[in-house]
Amino acid sequence: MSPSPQFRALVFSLLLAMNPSVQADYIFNMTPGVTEISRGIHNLHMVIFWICVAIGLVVFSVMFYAIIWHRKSRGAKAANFHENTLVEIIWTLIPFSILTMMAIPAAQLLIKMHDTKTDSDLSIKIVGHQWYWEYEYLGEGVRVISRLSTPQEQIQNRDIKNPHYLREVDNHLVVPQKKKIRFLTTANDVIHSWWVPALGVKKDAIPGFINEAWAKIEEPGIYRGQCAELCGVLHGFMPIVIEVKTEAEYQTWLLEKKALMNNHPTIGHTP
Amino acid sequence: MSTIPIEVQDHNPHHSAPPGIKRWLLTTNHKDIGTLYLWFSLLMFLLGGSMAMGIRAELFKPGLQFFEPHFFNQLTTMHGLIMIFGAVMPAFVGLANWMLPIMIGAPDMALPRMNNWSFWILPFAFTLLISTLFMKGGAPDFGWTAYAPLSTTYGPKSTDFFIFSIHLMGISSIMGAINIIATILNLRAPSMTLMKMPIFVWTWLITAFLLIAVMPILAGAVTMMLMDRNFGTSFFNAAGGGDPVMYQHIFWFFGHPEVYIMILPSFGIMSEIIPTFSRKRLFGYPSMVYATCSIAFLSFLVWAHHMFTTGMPVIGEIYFMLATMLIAVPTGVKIFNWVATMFRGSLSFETPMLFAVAFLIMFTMGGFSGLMLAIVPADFQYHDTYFVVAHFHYVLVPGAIFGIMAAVYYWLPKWTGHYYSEHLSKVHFWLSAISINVLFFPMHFLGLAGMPRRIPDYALEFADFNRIASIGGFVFGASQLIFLYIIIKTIRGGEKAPALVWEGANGLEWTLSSPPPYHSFSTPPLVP
Amino acid sequence: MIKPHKPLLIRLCVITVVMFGFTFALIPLYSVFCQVTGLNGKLDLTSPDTFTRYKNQDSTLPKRTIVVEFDTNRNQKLLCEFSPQHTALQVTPGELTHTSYHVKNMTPKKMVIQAIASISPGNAAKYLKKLECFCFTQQTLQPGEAMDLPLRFWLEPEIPEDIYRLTLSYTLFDVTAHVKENGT
Repeated sequence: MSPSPQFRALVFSLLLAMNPSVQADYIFNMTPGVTEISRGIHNLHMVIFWICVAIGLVVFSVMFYAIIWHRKSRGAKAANFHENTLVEIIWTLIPFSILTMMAIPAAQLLIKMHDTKTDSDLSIKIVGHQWYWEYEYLGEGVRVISRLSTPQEQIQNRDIKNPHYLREVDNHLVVPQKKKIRFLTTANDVIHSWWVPALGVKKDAIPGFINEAWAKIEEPGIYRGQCAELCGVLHGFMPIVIEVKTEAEYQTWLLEKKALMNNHPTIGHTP
Repeated sequence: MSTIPIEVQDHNPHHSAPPGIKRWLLTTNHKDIGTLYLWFSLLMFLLGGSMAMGIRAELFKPGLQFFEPHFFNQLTTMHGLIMIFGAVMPAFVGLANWMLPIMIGAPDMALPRMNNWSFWILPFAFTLLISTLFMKGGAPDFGWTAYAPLSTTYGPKSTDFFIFSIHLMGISSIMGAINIIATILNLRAPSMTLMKMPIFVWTWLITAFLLIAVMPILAGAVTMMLMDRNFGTSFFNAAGGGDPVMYQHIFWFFGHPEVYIMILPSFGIMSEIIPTFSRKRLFGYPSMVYATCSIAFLSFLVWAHHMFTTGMPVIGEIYFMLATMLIAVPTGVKIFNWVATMFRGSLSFETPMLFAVAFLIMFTMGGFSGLMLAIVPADFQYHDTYFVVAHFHYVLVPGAIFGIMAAVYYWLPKWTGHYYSEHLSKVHFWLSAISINVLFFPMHFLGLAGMPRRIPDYALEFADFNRIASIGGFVFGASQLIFLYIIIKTIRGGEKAPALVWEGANGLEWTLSSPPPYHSFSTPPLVP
Repeated sequence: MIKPHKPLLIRLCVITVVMFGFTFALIPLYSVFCQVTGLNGKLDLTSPDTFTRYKNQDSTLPKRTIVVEFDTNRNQKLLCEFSPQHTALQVTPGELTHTSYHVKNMTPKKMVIQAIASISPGNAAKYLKKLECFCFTQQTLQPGEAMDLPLRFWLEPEIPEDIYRLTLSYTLFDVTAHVKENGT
């Protein structure tokens, strides 16, 4: 009656998770993302994961050794030891030192994430609303309202779902590539949380308060995220789509947007 | 020593239980109250579990199938509240009521009448809480954490009922905890020194202190919420100079010790069961006690690791990361001690031991994901995703709940005088242990892939693992009906259990007949 | 022999009551903690700071400028105009800076507003001092009334060197209902 088959299945699924060839259908792991920070996070995640696997293997092997060989049904007689100060000190100190070693790279990355030494190239204010996001390009007078664009028919199962079901919006947040972007988050009503995994950014948007995070995105492309703090009824229906363009394309987009806002000053205003 | 006379204040030791419903309404007997607590908790477990089935059914495939998002949020909120305050905590208090007096050689709990009261508050508290589901505007829909301002300015009308029911649960828990501390400190058999107490008693003593320290804080937090909602104060309202993040600080100052309240008694149960079925003394008794104490102490210093994304100074984040990682050390010591207890023992795998081994493996896995969550930069990616859901369900279901189930199988023959069906219980165990991994393991992947928690509908890339998790969930849910059947069957009859139910067991409870007399240890026993 | 329960019970009850009280004591403690650490970028909104003009030429600290961005929000889509005079200014630490905000009530009703300030990055909060700020008091706006709200502030020269840019954000809250309720 040993639970080992079940344990093996778990280990197997863990190993499977690390094998990139099966990721076509199932996403098993955290995205490495497209910024230096998000890659740093991914590396930390993998290091701590393998440390856990290693500790787990040692502890569980000892345990399963006992489960298999020290059974009463095999005629095992119980030994009489019940303490050993040296062993106990050692197994207190070893985890302690592993953890200390783990904390150093984590703290370094954290300090990097909080870096304000290098000035940012642009600031974008993100306002969480029930239940959509509003982006304001500070100093540019450009404002983008970004709402879920998945039709109700698809949500109510009356229509075939889009490939980006629930992760598509009417207006993308457009940003330039290779620029340090400062994201300022706040909210209009309740607490929301702005999260784009590929950027390694998750920051709470709190009404009355302002928070900041930054990202320097290397690859142009479209990255998707979602609100990560329960914010009421439609919490699951306020996705984030960020479109990263080259600097030149971004400038063109910005000019067009500005022209549009000058001609129709009501566009983009909070309804 | 064993003949020191003892005064029993409330009742004559030869007096037996009054018949009918009055026995249960008016009882001051620790065994009866323990039974009440356990049944209540089982009922709540099934109720909270059926809500979980609803949640998993909705999440079986993308799109909205059964519930509107608003009702889905009510379900997740009620599921959390019922499981934490209705299932896990009362189950532990029930086990404490049943077992503490007979483990320390006391005639009853120290304050029997208060004991009755602390149980009977609970049905009222939960009737109130559950009634909110039928109110206009619906039940609380802001998650069990009830973050302001979603729960204050934006909360439904029923929030005030939620607050009042939290107050009642708090009063019940505090009274239960005071009773337990008084029993342990004042009513031990004369020769039972603190360091001779069974570990289960130790872990409950520490848990009880945690309870009286943090339940008032939860009460304070919801009181402020009540005042903000109804009396024009601005504790959590930025407009009046308050701060919604302060609610989170106060809540988690309660909330983190609370998670240890839900696991320490399970640690105690493991420390009883593993030595019994290893036929070997618990390895490192003193270090177990010290480890429990340090876990309890550290639990007050790590609350903000639940809120790294709210924006904290970097030095604060580093501190909370280090403090959180530090908890892994005493927790690790406990795991190592249990493994060392099994090592070179003479092991047999009756159902309680199976649950204990499953606990060891899966709780450790939950601990690992907890360690990963402590790494602040990585937490920015894990926070509020299904990775967190997987983590806390791994520590709470195979942790707390398997601990409780192990305890029930371990002591059920003592309580009822009958052995349970070993065959059926093994079916229950294997179905539960396998389905729970099918249920919760894929949630790690969902979280890493980017699925936030508390959403009723999700993107297509999350569909496969959600389907797997739901199937696991349905099997796990259905398996618990076997558990219910086993318990009822064992109460009704079965192979007669002797006083020493398990051959390797040690402790005073095994010196009493099975079932024990209605009043036991009226004269304190001699502790070897 | 049963030990008397009473002394123990009294102590346990005291712990319970003290912990309940401690929750409320956390409120002022938290404010102090926020000001010291800059948690949340929370600023003291109650009273003006006293300005003692720093002589930059005498200061041992290198002369530099910091970009201060002025940002505005209206909570719950409050129906009024609210905009800063400047979107951003170069500010020399130690020097008093003057700016103002424009606010206009767009409703046909009297409105009482309260502005809440927040600053990012949070660790700059304790270095931003305000001599005059409209956030110290509530403002009453008649229907359609417009107002210029002054702000005079300075940055302490000790502000950390790695801060080049900070955002001062004001959120307007409608407290009309709240004021009525309390009768003030």
